[in-house]
Amino acid sequence: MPVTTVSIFNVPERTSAQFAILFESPGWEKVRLLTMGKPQVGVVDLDSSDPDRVWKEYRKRYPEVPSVILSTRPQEREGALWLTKPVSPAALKSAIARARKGFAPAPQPAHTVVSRPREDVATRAATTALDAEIEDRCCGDAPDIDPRNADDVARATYCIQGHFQALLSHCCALVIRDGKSRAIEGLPGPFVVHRNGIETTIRPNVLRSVCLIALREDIVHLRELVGTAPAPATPLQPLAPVLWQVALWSARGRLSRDIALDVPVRIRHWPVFTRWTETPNAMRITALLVGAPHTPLDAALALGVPHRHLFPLLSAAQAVGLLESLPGHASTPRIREERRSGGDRRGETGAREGERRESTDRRGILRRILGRLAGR
Amino acid sequence: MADYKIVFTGPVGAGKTTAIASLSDIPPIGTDEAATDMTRERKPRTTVAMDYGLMKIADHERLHLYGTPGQERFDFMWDILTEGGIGLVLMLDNSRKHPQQDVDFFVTAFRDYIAKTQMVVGVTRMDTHPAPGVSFYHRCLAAHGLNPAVFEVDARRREDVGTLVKALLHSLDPGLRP
Ligand SMILES: Nc1nc2c(ncn2[C@@H]2O[C@H](COP(=O)(O)OP(=O)(O)O)[C@@H](O)[C@H]2O)c(=O)[nH]1
Ligand SMILES: [Mg+2]
Repeated sequence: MPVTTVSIFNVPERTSAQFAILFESPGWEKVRLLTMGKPQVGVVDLDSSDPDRVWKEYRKRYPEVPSVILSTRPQEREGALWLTKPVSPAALKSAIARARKGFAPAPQPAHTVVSRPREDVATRAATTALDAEIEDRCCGDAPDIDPRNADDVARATYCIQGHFQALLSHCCALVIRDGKSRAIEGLPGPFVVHRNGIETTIRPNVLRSVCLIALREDIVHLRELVGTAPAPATPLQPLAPVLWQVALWSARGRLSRDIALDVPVRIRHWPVFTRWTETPNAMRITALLVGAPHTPLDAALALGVPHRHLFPLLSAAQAVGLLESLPGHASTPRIREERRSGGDRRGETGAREGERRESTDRRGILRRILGRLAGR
Repeated sequence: MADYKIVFTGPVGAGKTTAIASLSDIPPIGTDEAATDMTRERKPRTTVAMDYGLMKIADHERLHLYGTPGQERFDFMWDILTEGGIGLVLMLDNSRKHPQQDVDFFVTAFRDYIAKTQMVVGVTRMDTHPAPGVSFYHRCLAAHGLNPAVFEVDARRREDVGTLVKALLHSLDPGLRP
């Protein structure tokens, strides 16, 4: 797609500088900030004491330009798409692309690997803001890798050593072993790991940034708390969901180097998806890998899920002790194809055909129930 | 009209009626009556016949949600309930005295049905009673050769119940796409 020029309206100077930085960052090559002239897409912040007046001024300056509205409250305006704040970069990027195309359905990812089943159209359809945010923060938007390409593999894998995830895992292990609370010092706020939970006032967004940078050992370190710790000032957060989340943020679409791409893995038990972050396709991946071991590459292929969805889930399962590597075990793709090319079926016996039709019918009803649960 | 069925079971007070109500399009037809025996002390009203809820899926498709009576003496009803069902939701109450016995009892009672379909487990009241917790139930279930999804749920939250049923659907068919 050609470059899209974008102008931003009604944001403070600081925010406008942030947009400028965002548009310069990797993955945003197709978007350019325009400060003069007529843009192809306008982005307007309508949070003000008088949104109608802001909209009128905006339309005077940029008549008929397809627009993206940022607001904490629902906004319905002609020729504009509303994004609820806080807006994730991924949601903004896809909204800009949709506005550019005159609000066609969400664009398909540019990369499609030929050898795999297509991603469902429904999977790509507009997700809710929360889902988009989870996807952006835990999966990123990197294309699938070619396992024979060393650069691809290096880009899509990461080492937890020297990062917050490793320190937190180590700290949790110590606390569980001897029951003594420990503080992780040198972070942007207090962070204490107790046997029964984590006490911290660090906000999730800040903690997420901490996950992404290499920590300096002379600054960030553990300290064992002696004597009886004072009653926690904030409600304790259970260990497992925090460790799970930290691993997802750290992975951001990548696979921990502790997991091999070509060794079968099994997920021991279902993660508690009512309380732990459920990333895109997490349930499908879990259902497959609780049932039968697959190598990461085979699992992605069997389910037709992007690597950026699979890798962080496996990395997080590893972090909480739910992943088991089974070298030497057969990786047996056991998913029946949903749509096979017609020619393959000619030799099929009546019984097999009946069986297949039944399983397709059943999949249809299960999918519709799923849709109803999702509120569609 | 195509009809499908999911069965909710579990001990008295585990949240079956509430869970069904949170998903149902219609107010659940509970047949609660005053209990005449010990169950009265735990809960003033208890389901003696069955709970029922309904989700309309499409014009000609309905999903029926049945709750089993919580008392063991009504087990003759269960075969009727499970006939043609697509899966089982076992609700467990984390505050109960003998949680392992609850697992053993319900898993044994529904053994044939579980073998034919799939199950998921929702553990309620973890907000007020954090122990024994999810991994305890995984161990109990492993003793029966089972490894289903076990989620902490609050039956009063539709999101929680919906996520639990979603896990049941994916367990039935990992190839299922949303
Ligand atoms: N505190 C708490 N109460 C719950 C939870 N789940 C259900 N309840 C309550 O437990 C009570 C019993 O639930 P009910 O659905 O009647 O249980 P049933 O006997 O299995 O049908 C109701 O008052 C619910 O609101 C939970 O997770 N926490
Ligand atoms: Mg009831």
